[in-house]
Amino acid sequence: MQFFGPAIVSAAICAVTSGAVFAQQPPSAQSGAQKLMAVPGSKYPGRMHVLPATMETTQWGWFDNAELPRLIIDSGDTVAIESMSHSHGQLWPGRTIEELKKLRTDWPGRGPMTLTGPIFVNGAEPGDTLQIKIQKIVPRPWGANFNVPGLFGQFPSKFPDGQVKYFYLDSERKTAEFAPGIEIPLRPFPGTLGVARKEPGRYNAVPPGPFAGNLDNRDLVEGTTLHVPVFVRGALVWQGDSHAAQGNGEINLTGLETAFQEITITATVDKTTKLEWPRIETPTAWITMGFDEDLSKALANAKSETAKFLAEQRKISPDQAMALVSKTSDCRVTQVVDIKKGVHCTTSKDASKSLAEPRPTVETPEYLVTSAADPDMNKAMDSASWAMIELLQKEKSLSRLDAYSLASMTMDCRVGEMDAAEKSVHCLVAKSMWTKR
Amino acid sequence: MNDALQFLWPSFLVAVVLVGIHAYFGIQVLARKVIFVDLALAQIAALGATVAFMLGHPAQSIATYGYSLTFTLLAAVLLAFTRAWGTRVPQEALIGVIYVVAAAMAILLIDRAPQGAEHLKQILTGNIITSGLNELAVIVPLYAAVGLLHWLLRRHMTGMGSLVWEFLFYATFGIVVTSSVAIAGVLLVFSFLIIPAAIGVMFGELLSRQLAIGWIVGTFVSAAGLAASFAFDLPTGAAMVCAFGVSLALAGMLYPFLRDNRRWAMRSAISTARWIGAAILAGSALQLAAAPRADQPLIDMAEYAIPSLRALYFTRAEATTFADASEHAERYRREAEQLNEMERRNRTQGQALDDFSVARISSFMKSYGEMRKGEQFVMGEVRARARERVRWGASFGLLALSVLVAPVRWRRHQSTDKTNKQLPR
Repeated sequence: MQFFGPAIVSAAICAVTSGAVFAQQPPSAQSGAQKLMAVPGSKYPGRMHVLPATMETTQWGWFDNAELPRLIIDSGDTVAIESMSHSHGQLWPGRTIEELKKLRTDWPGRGPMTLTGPIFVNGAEPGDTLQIKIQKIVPRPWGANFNVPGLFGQFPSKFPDGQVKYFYLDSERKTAEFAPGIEIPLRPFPGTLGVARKEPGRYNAVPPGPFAGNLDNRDLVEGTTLHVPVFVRGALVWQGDSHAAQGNGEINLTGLETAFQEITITATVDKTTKLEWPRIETPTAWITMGFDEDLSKALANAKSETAKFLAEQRKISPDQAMALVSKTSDCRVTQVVDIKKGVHCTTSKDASKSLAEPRPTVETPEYLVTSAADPDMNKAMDSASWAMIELLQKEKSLSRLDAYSLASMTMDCRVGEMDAAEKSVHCLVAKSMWTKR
Repeated sequence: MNDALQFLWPSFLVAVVLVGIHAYFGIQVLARKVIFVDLALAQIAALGATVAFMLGHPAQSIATYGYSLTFTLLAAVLLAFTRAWGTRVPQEALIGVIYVVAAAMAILLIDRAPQGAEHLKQILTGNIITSGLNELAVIVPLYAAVGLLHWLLRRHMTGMGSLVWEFLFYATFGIVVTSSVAIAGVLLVFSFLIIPAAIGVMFGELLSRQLAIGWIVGTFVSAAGLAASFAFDLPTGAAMVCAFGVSLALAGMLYPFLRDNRRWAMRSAISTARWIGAAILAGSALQLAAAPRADQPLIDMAEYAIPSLRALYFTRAEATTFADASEHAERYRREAEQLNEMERRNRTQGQALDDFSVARISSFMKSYGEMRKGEQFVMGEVRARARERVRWGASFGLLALSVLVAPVRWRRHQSTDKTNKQLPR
C-alpha cells in the first residue's frame, strides 16, 4: 500500500497546516484533524496514521520535551512518517559545500537534522519501555555526502578542504553510483529515532543518549525494533537524520544523507520491561549500545550493557556475563562523530550461538582491510580508519576527499581485541562495490 | 483589462513619442552607415549620468541631465570628427571604441558605489513603465523642436555634409538620446532607433513611406511589448527590446513574400525550414549518441509538449520515480505558495506575525525552493539514465528522421541512376 498517495498527503497537510492547534487539545481527544490523519485499512498493527513533514510538524536540530505533540496515537498504532533533509530541507542537490558549512556555523548549538514529531503515545509513562518497530522505509531517490571543511568529522585538521557529493538512489537496484564503476549498496535507516529526554529545555539533537536519539546505528533497518526507555508522559517520538547508507564510524560526519518519503513505525508501550539504555531487536539478535565522548569508555559501556543482557538471557552472574561478551558478541564502532561516540554489540537470540568472529588483519578476497591496536580505543580507531583512507587512495586511485567520503558511507569498523589492555579496531571495505562496466 | 490600460497608457504614449523621433533618426543613421552611433551616444549620456550619480546628484535631477547633455555634446564633436578620421580606419570602428571605453569608464566609476549594480541595470534597461505625463511634458516640445529644426534644415541634415552640419546632426541627436536614455535605457533606445527604421527601409523607398512604416511598426511593437510585460510580469524594458527583435525577425521572414517572387519565396522558405529541421534532428541525434546525459533541448521540448513520449523509453520503475518526483516538486511549489499566502494574509488582513514566525516562514519558503530543485535533480537523473540506455536506437531513429526531413531529391537521383544504368555503355 502506498500511503503517500497525493490525496492522503494533501488531506494530512491540510489537517496539520490548518490546525496545528490540535496538538494543544487533551491527548485523549481525537480532533477532526486527527481523524483525517488516520488511514483506514492497513496491513500494519493498530490504527494507521500519517505524519507529513511540514513547517508545523518539524524542528531543526533540537529536542525539547515541551514541544507540543503533532500527532497523538494509541499504543500499538502505526504511523507513516515523512522526513525532511537536513536544516529544514535545505540540503538538496545543487547546494555548495560553502552554503552547507554556513548552515552549520550560522546556527551553533543545534544539530543539522530535521526532526519530524513529536508523536504522543497514549499510555506511555516514565519508567515504561517503548517498542518502536520499523515496518517500512522508502527514501527519496537522492542522497548526499559531505565533508564540512575543517570542521566536524573524525579528521577535521587533515581535511581543511570540503566537498559535497550528490547521488541518485536507484530504488530498483538498491544502489547509488559513487563514481563510474563504484556502487554503494543502499540500506536505509533512521539516523535519529527516539523519545524525549527527561530534562526540560532545548537540547542539541546530535549526541545520542538513553532516550536513543541520534544513534546513527546502521543496523536499525526495516524489520528491527528499537526498545527505548520512556522519560516523559506520552514518550514523544521523533524521527529524522534519514540515511540511505552509512559506514560503521560515519567518519566524515555524514552517511548517505537523504529524506524519507515514508518511514512506517509501530509504537507499542511495554509496561513490563525496565531499561536504562536503548536496545535494538532484529529478527535473530539483540543489539546493545554504549556511548561516551571517549571511545574507550563507549566500548566499556557497550560491554557492560551487553553483559547485562547476557546475564538476563542466560541467567548468569554479571561477572560471568562480562567474561562472555568477547566470546559471544560482535561489537562494532557505531560512529565517532556525534559528540558522544558509540559502540554497539550484536548478540544472538539463540544462546547457543556465538556471533563473535575472528577479525581480519590483512586483505581478504572480499574486503580491503586495515587494522590498528592501541590501549586507547580512540587512537586505534583513528589509525585504522586513516589507514583505510590512504589504502583507498593507493589501491583504488580515489582522491583524498573521495576516499574520506566513501569510507564514511561504507567502511565497517569492527572491534577486535576488547579484553586485553591493548584494544584493536579492524576496518573493512567490501570489494564488491567495485563493479565491472 | 481596464486596469491594464489605465496602468500602461502613459508609458505607451511615451513610447510612441520615442518611436516618432527615433525612427526618423534611425533612417538617417542607417543612411550614414553609423549604426552604433546611437549606442555610443547613449553610453556617453549614461557615463555623464554616472558621473553625476557619483557626485551625489539624484537620478532624475537637472544636474544629472546637465552632465549627460554635456558629455553627449562633447561626444557629438568627437563623432563629427570620426568621419574625417575614418579614412583608413572605418568610422564604425571608432564609434565602437567610444562605446566600449564609455561603458568601461561607467563600470570603473560605479564599482565602488553600494547601489552600483542597480544603477547599471537602470542605465541599460531604463524604467519606461514608470514614465508618464511629466516626461511627456519635457520630451514632446523638445523632440518637436528637434524635428522641426531637422525639417527646416533637411537639405543639410540628410546625407553627408560639412563638419558643422555633421556636428549639428550629432548634437541634436545627442540631445534626443540623452533625454531618451534617462527614460528608456540604452538598450530600448537603440531598439527604438534601429528596428522601426530598418523595417521602414526594408519595405519603403521614399523617406515618407519609410517613416510611416517605421512609426506604425514601432507603435504596434511597443504596445505588444508593454502588454507582454504586464501579462507575464516581465521587466518592461527587456520585454520591449525582445518584442522589437521578434518584429525584425518576422519582417525579415515576410520580406521575400512581399518583395520577391512569392512562389519562389515559398519554396525557398519550405526548403530552408526542412534543412533547419534536418540539421536540428541530425545534431540532436549526434548529441544523444555522444553525450546522452547532457542537455537534449529538442527531446526536452518534445517531451514538454507531449509528456507521454517518455513512455516510449522509460521503464515502469523510471516512469514511477519520475512521476513521483514531479508530484513532489508540485507539492513543494504549492506549499511555498500557501506559506506566502499565509504571510501575506497575516500582514494585510490579520494580526502581523512576530519576527520569529516571519523568519521561519521565510526559511521554509527557501527550503521548499531547494526541495523542488532536489526533485528536479531526480527527474533529470532518471531521464539521463533512460536516455543513456536507449541512446543508440533513438539516435538512429532521429538520424533517419533527419534524412527524411531533408529536402534532398531522392527520387530524381534514383531515376537518374536507373537511366544511367539503362544507357548502353
